[in-house]
Formats: sequence, C-alpha cells, structure tokens
Amino acid sequence: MSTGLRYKSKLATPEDKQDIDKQYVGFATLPNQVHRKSVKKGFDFTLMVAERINQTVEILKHTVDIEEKGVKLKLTIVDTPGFGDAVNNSECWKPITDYVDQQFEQYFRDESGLNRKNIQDNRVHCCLYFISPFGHGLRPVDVGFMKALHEKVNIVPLIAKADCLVPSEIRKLKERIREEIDKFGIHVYQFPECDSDEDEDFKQQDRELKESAPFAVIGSNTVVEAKGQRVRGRLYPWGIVEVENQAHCDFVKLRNMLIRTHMHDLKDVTCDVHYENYRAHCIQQMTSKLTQDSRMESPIPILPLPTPDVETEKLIRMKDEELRRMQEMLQKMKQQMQDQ
Amino acid sequence: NVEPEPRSLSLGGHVGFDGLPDQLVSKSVTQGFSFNILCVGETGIGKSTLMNTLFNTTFETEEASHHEDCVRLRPQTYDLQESNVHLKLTIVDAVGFGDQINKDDSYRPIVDYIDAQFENYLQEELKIRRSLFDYHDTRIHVCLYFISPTGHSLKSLDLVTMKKLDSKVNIIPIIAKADTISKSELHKFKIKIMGELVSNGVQIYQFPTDDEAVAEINAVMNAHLPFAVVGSTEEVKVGNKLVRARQYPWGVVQVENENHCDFVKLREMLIRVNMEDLREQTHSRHYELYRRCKLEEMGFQDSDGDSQPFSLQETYEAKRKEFLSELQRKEEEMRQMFVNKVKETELELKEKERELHEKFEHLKRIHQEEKRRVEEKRRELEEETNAFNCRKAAMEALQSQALHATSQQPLRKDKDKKN
Repeated sequence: MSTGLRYKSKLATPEDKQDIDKQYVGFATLPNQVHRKSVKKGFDFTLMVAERINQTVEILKHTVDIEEKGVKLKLTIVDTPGFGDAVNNSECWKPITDYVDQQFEQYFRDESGLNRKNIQDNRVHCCLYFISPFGHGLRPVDVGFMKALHEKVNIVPLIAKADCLVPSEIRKLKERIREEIDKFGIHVYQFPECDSDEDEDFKQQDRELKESAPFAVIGSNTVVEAKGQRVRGRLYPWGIVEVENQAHCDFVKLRNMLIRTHMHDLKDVTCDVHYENYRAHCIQQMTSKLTQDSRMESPIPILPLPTPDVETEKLIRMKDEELRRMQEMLQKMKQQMQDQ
Repeated sequence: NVEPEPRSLSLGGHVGFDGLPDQLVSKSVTQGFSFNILCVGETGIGKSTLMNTLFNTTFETEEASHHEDCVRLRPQTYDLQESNVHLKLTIVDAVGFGDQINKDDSYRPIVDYIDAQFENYLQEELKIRRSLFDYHDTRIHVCLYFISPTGHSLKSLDLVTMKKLDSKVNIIPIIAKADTISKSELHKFKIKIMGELVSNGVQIYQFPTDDEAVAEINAVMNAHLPFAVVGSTEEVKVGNKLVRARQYPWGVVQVENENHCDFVKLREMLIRVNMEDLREQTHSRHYELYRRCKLEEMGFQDSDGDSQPFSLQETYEAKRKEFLSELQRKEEEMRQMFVNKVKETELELKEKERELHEKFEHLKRIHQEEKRRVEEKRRELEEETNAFNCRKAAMEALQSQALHATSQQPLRKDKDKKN
C-alpha cells in the first residue's frame, strides 16, 4: 500500500519549473521545510498493550530507537500486568489508569516549569486492548476497563487469537462487539473523516477500514515457508495461517492504521483531547483544594439583579400613569375655566 | 530511578513509519500556517514596496506621514495561498519610526508590541480550557530592520533599537534602496555594519547550519548579510522579458538580478528556506525566554519538581481570587449605583407628583374663588334687579295714583261755577 507516496505527492515541488514562473513567491515550500525539520528532530510514540492473561506482574516499559528511510522513531511499548483473572476483579485496571495519569502529571509539571527545553513526552498515545475470542462479546471486566480508560487514552480494541474463528464467526463477533461498545457508551478511538478532496481509492480504503473495526489479529514471531515464500505465520496440521494475508486476519489493516496513516493523529488526539481534559480537571481540582470555593463552574458569579429590576420597572410605570392622569385632569379644568 | 538508554534495533522489513513526516505535514497543511513580519525603518525607506515585491502582490497601505508624534505599530493581516498552502501573513509596520526630533523612546512601542503578542500567547497557554492548535499566532517571527543607505555606518538609533530587540525577535538587517550605493562602497558598508553590530553585541539572526540539507546554502548566505535590497513593483522590458525593475536614465536596476542587488537572496532565505526555522526559533527561544522572565516576575522559582505546578497554580489562584474580588466589588458598585438611581428617580417623580398636586389645588382654589365672585356678582345683580323691580313697581304705583288724582280735580271746578 503506497500511503507514503500518496502523502508525498501532495507536496509542492517548486525546485523544477517554478523559479521561472514570475508569480511564484515561494512559501509553498513551507511543508517541505516542516518535513525536513521533522525528519531531523525525529518522532516518538508510546504504545500500551492490555490483555487479560499475561505473564507480567508489573508495568514494564521497553523503549527502542528505530529508523526507516532516514526517519527516526523512538518507540516505547508499555506492557501491562495481566488483569481480570483473579477471583475478585474489582478495580483491577487501577494500576493502569494510575500509570496513564502519572505520565500526564509528569508532562503537566514539565510543561509548567521554567525550563522547558528538554521535555520528555511519555504520555500514552494508544492502548491496544485485546478482547478474548472465546466468548460472545464484551465481558463486564472488558467494559469496566475500557470505560475507566476511554477518556484518558485512545483505545483500539482488537480481537486476539483470531485464528480460532471462522470468517462468519468473526463477522458476528465484530458486530456484537460494535453493538456493545455503543450500548455501554464506550468511546473507542474514532478514525478521523478523510478529506473530501481525497481520491476515490483512498475513500474506499478508509470505509473498509472503519467497517472492519475491531480488528481481528493473529500474531506470530515465527517465520514459516508458505507457497515458496518465507512469511510470518502459524503452522497447523490443516494449513498455514499467514499473518500478513488480508484474507486470514486484519493484521495488515491494523499496521496500516496504527503506523502508516494514523500514528500522528493518535498523538494529536492524545495531546489535544485527553491531555487537555486531564489538565483542565487537574487545575480545577487544585484550585478547589486551595480555596474551598464551590463556585467552580462560572468564574463570574451570577448577579442577582433581575428581580429588583422588574419590580422597580413596575413602580416606575405606575407612577408614570398617575402623572399622566393628573396632567389630563389639569388640562380639562383649564379648558373648563376658559369656557366659562 | 534512571531509565535504561533506549537501544537501537534494526528492522527486519518495511514497517511504514517513514510516512510519519508526511502525516505531520498533511496535518499542518490542513491547519494552515501563519507568519508575522515586523518592518522597522525610517518613513519612506521602502518597507511597503519591499513587502509588495517579496510577496508579488499589492498590500493596501497608504503612504505614511513624517509628522506622527510617536512610533505606533500598525499590523495588517492577509490570507495568501500558493498551490495548496494557506498562509496567514501579518505585516506589522512601525509607523513614524525615526521621524521624531527626540527619538529616545522610539524603541519602546516596538518592544511593547512584541511583548504583548508573547503575553497573549502565554495567557492562552495558561487558560484552563485552551485551544492552542487553532490559536492565531500573532508573535513576531522576524524583524526586518531597514538600514539607511548612507554608505558610512549605522546610526545610533539603529544600534539602540536593534540592541533592545535582539533578545526578543529574530532580526535580519537589510540595506534599503541599495541602488544608491556602488558595488565597492557597498562592500565596505557591509563590513562596517557587521563590525559595528558585533562590537556592540547585537545578536542578529543566523541562518541555521545544523541541518545538512541546508547547511551549505545558509552558511554562504550568512556571509552576505546585511542584504542590500531594491524593491519595485513596476515592470520594465529588458531584452524580450518583462522584469521588475527601476528605470533610470542611465540604466535599469533589475530587482531579481543577483548582480544588481541581494533581493533574490533575501527571498530565498526568508521565505523559501528558513521560514519554518524562524517560526520555530520564535517559539522555542524568544517566547520561552519571555515566559521564563514573566513567570519569575510573578514570583515562582524552578526549585524542585514537587512545588512547581502548585506554585504556578497558587499564583494563578491568587490572581483569580483578586479578579473575583474585583468583580464582586464592581458588582456591588453597580448595584449601589442602580439603587441610588432608582431612589433618585423616585424622588424626582414624587417631587413632580407633589408639584402637580399643588398646581391642581391652586387651580381648584382659583376656580372656587372665581366661582364665588361670580356667585356674589350674581347675587348683587339679583338684588339690584329686585331693587330695581321694586322701585319700578313703586314708581308705577305712584304714577297710577297720580293719574287717578288728576282725573278727579276737573269735576270740582265745574261744581263751583254753578253756584
């Protein structure tokens, strides 16, 4: 999928013929300048993985520096402990929400400091939530977890181990999960609408992407030989499941969405929405603690002026009436006297 | 606890995050860009013409007069578009600069304006509910300082002003109306200017040389500062092309001819190569410095990690309390004023009511007086009429008696005659 090329073709390329063009000023190179600078600066991304059954007992962070075609990415994977498998699972997602909040708090402090030259952004940009395929949809612990996190981090729900379901079962399960997400009011990450000036191909791809959520994935670290090629897959007696085969699972869609097209949008939503909500909430809490003032919502107190206004208005009107009547009477009497 | 250094991994195949810069670019193109230029120079030195020439358009500006009593900043914003890039360009003109007899304070309105834009951004950043991504950034990204082509040296006004501005904005000095200086004079002039800037410690903007893609061209251009420019929006036929130029009897000065002036260099550096860097430097260096100073002024130190947000919030909260109490006071004042006004109006109305009532009474009395008098007169009249009638009756009675008496007298006379 040539998404990389697609974006590139939108950039203006002034170097070739425009210098001759008199009308050309040159600020159309701004995107190129931004591009150049961003490549130089590099990117970072933090991905959190949440699944129920897991060996880990504490939150582990793995950070790697990777580079591709000159673009540097500092990728952090946050592995969460398995949760939901104890007998009593109330609030089992607390360590995870605490972790996300901690990163926000750290960033908030750094941002409020005097020296902001080297702020490290450790905020979680995306949380991949694995839903078990061995069920009929979302379990209460799934709902609880997602609702605890949906206002703090972008949740991308995935159906794990999808190689135990046949296509029709996958379809049913996806529909079920989508319904339940709506029913329980869970706000998972929404793919942004694509621009109206995109080509039809892209719009079609975008539609397909949205319709296959939640993605059903299969993961594999082993490389097997299939149809003469070496592919990542799982070897079964009845066949080979190819990870990167779109007919076998949605892995390719997930990778495209997560990395090739929406990685930056995930970061933006984290910064502009989730973090801002946290910050606003935090400030309000702090200030309420400091002043014990319950008037939080409107900084400007509502003035109780309306009622006296209305009453005085009435009074003034009454007096006006009286005045008018007396004046009339006076006129009449004057008239009478003149007549006599 | 110290985190382990991230390790570098090599990738087994194409992943696809090399598209990240494109994603970023796509987003920023959708958002649009804003760029703010401050032009400082004497009246009539060619600032507006140069802007028109640079952006190949005619920005509507009237000629400034030489008789302004102080320097004032005049910002004008334009929406430009080139291929798919939208640019919100703001040109700020320091009107009246250099015209006053006493120029001691000329720099102050300029510094105040730059600080005000930083302040606005800081305020937005400190808001509880902020929207920085669609905030119209008005901070000045570059200051083009126009030097008069005297050919000798910088004026002290230039040095003083640039010194006040160099820590707040990226300064690019330019020699204006460069078609009045010959090549050799220009060379000496440039050296003199740069020398004076260095010896006075003025930090002008250096085109960045840390990015390999543009390091070379930037380094070359740095050596050509200050740029000697000529501006013109008029077109003259040279050869078989129409070019922007100034036509003199002795020849044609072509704006885009690099032998004639440095206009092309300026355009290249300012717009085509370093526009983004100018924006970035403004944000990460000049603005941060302003912010740090401002916050320190408000009384909060960068001591230990724990106290920071609270101190900032404390100061913020203190200001907020102040604001609220001010608001309450104003509210009380207004309420008081309103109550007073109502009382006043009521009193007035009462006064009027009383007056009217008095008048009414007065008129009533007059009326009654009149009535009484009329009544009296009528009675008098009646009496007179009665009296008159009586006298008339009496008179009539007398008359009839008299008549009766005279009719009896003649009979007696006859009787006497018979005897």
